[in-house]
Amino acid sequence: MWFKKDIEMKLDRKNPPPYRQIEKINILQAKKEVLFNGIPVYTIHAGSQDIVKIDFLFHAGTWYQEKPLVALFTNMMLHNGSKNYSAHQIAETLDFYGAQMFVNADKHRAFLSLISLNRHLEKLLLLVEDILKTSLFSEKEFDILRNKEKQRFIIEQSKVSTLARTKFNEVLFGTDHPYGRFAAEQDYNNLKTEQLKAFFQRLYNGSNCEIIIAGRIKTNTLSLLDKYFGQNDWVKKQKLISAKNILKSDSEKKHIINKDGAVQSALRMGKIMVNKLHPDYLGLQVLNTVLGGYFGSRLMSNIREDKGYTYGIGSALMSLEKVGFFVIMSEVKAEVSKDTIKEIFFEFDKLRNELIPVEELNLVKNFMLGEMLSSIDGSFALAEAFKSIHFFGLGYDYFDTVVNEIKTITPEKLNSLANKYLQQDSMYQVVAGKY
Amino acid sequence: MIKFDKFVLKNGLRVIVHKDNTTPTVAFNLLYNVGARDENPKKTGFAHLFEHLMFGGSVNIPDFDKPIQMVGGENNAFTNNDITNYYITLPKENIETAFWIESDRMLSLAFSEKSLEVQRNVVVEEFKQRYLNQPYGDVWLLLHPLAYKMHPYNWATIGKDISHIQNAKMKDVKDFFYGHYAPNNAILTVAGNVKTSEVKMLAEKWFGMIEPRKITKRNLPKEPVQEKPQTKKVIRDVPYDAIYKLYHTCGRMHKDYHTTDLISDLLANGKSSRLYNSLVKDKAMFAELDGFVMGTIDPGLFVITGKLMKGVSMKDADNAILNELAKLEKDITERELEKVKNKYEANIVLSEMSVLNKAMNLGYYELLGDAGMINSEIDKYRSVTIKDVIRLTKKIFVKNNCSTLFYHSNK
Repeated sequence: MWFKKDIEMKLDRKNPPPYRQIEKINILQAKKEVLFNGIPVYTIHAGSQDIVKIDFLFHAGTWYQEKPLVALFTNMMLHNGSKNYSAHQIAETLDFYGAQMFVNADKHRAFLSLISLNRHLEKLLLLVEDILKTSLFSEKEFDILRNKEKQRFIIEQSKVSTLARTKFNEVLFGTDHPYGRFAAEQDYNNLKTEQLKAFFQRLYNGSNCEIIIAGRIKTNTLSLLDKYFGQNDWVKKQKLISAKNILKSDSEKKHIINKDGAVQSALRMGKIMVNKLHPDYLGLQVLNTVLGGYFGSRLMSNIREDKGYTYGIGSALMSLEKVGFFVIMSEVKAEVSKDTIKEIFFEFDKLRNELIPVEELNLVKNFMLGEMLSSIDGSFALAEAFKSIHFFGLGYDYFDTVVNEIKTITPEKLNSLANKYLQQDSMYQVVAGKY
Repeated sequence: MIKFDKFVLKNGLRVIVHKDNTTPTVAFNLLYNVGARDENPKKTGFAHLFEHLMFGGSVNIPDFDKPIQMVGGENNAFTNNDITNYYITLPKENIETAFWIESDRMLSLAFSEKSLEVQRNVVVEEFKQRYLNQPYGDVWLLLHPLAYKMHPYNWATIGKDISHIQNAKMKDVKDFFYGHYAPNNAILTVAGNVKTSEVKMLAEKWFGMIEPRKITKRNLPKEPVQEKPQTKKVIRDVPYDAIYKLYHTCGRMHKDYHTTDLISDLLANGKSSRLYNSLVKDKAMFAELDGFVMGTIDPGLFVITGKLMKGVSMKDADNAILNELAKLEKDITERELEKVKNKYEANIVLSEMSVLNKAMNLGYYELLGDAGMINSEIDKYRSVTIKDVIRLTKKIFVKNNCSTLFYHSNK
């Protein structure tokens, strides 16, 4: 007979094979170099592919804009023409050398990231230099981009998830704060190229710039950066001025946005919490993971796996530079919006009133350590890990603190955090769809 | 160059091992040679529903996710028209956990009624979230049957109709499992800082005694040649009009595939592509315009999707696309072809930074016939000539080969 009974009998399929908990996380640290004109360059030399990623970072996020969309459009327009390259030539050059250029502006920073094979790097740095120093903001290119983005915005507004997310941030931070302020259709019409030019002149320059390189860094890479970005004429003496930003949460906790014909409701719940500079932050990350931070979390087990109300539900503790916030996100069957909220509060109660069983907590600890290990896997990931501490002024010893906190935190400590932070009446609730 | 070893267990399980000592994690990828094309037309969406059920406990292990999380790993899966693919990443020290747990669900599932009931609901909610409650969400539900009349690419992976999922019975689940899930219908790839000898020992230990099964014979109807243009018009509650054009092309293993793929790059990959430059930028007729090949194993589709700018008529939009397609054969240059080849090559280098990507690709190429394709595909792309592009452009972009969906806004 084919079936090998003898082996089958010896094999214990019921119990897991022995495993090892992750002892220590070894992180390859970024090394700091400085260009001739003082721009700091952080280098992470790792990996076997002959490729590098270079991030140019500027303090040019929405934190510094006076009018909506200015930071975003200034950043997006970097693709759309400079003194020596038209928009088409920029795209053509990048594609011809198989390179990728991404731009992005978030709350505090604006990025331009280049991914390039080493053998073409110099030609592409020449291009990036032209973009970062001489972008033109032509009316024609701006008009096309604006109309396109406006249409995209209007499509986004027809999604319940967008409606809920926007409202949630608005009520948490208020519309006079960059974390809570979103553009309206009218803002697209009011935007002017002059505003973008002025923002670019003010913030995209060497004195407001940091560079991070990750990948297989060649011996001449730094001198190339010096050649194109290290000159004194790209540095201005200036003080960084932020916009007037006032944080004011809404006094009303519950917000419903009705949408006809919605077959699901988008749900956002949460509150302002701490960021990673606060001593409670790491404990709260563990608590959040238990609640909704992984596939086997309590919210997923209850609301998806037990009730089948949703395709997915999760929670997160987001650390922004000025403050952190906690959010639960889901899209649920329209007729169970209320029941879902009830179940979420039930899970809060449990965390406040009962200790997390040791077995469950061990699982979460091991999961988080594994996640940490994969979050530093590869040179590009190492660059992201570096940003996650650098933006908060933290050093690499922070990662040791994280590992230690995850390993040693007790159910009692988590229970006291739940009682401090997860009070039902402190939570904002936003439902878009049907309620 | 990606090096790998390959061996086959007595029960037919193919195993591929790739050593990468730069990473602390191991990718464990198990591909089953079954997808939505293998479904009964009256029970569609089943391959994907089944993927969900694979997480509902196996014969000896009540919960799939927890033991993996316990050892610091993560896992997930996806289903498409051709394959179902399960993957785990975990610290290399704990690799045996992956063998233990994946082999148990290949051995047999728990077949719990509760799990079936819940996953039916979850998949119905997934259907709603992705296909019904999003602007333009139902497009793929419309496109599959528009292009395919006979072949089971006639339906999307999620299924033809929500009722097929709602009506799924335990007997269907069992039949599907024993007809498709078996060592002789699967490919295991392990990539990371591992030794082939170690993988071989573990594969023998955990998968070696699972019996081969009788696999349901695949006998799919061929899609007849389309003989006239097809169009469909729908009106939906969306802010802007959209247009979708589909052209029948060859399958993934055909010698023309690489040229077809490069044609899609010439036309629509990125900001330097033809469609983008002409119709999104210069003429500003579209807010978005995209083009790609489906890459399916059986003869596939060349797809063009566009969202129109307000004020542009459907007819003008359609003609503008046709005009660009017709221009390609007249003015393509060597430099332009060189550009898309360079881009392809750089993307390959980039994708090989991830050990999980490498594992998935090795498994998929093995299914196509040879894991070694992971290294040889680049030469096929490199050898495409302008003549090839012109010949295929003339063949693909003809009226009678085209299906068009006019997706009108009600506003």
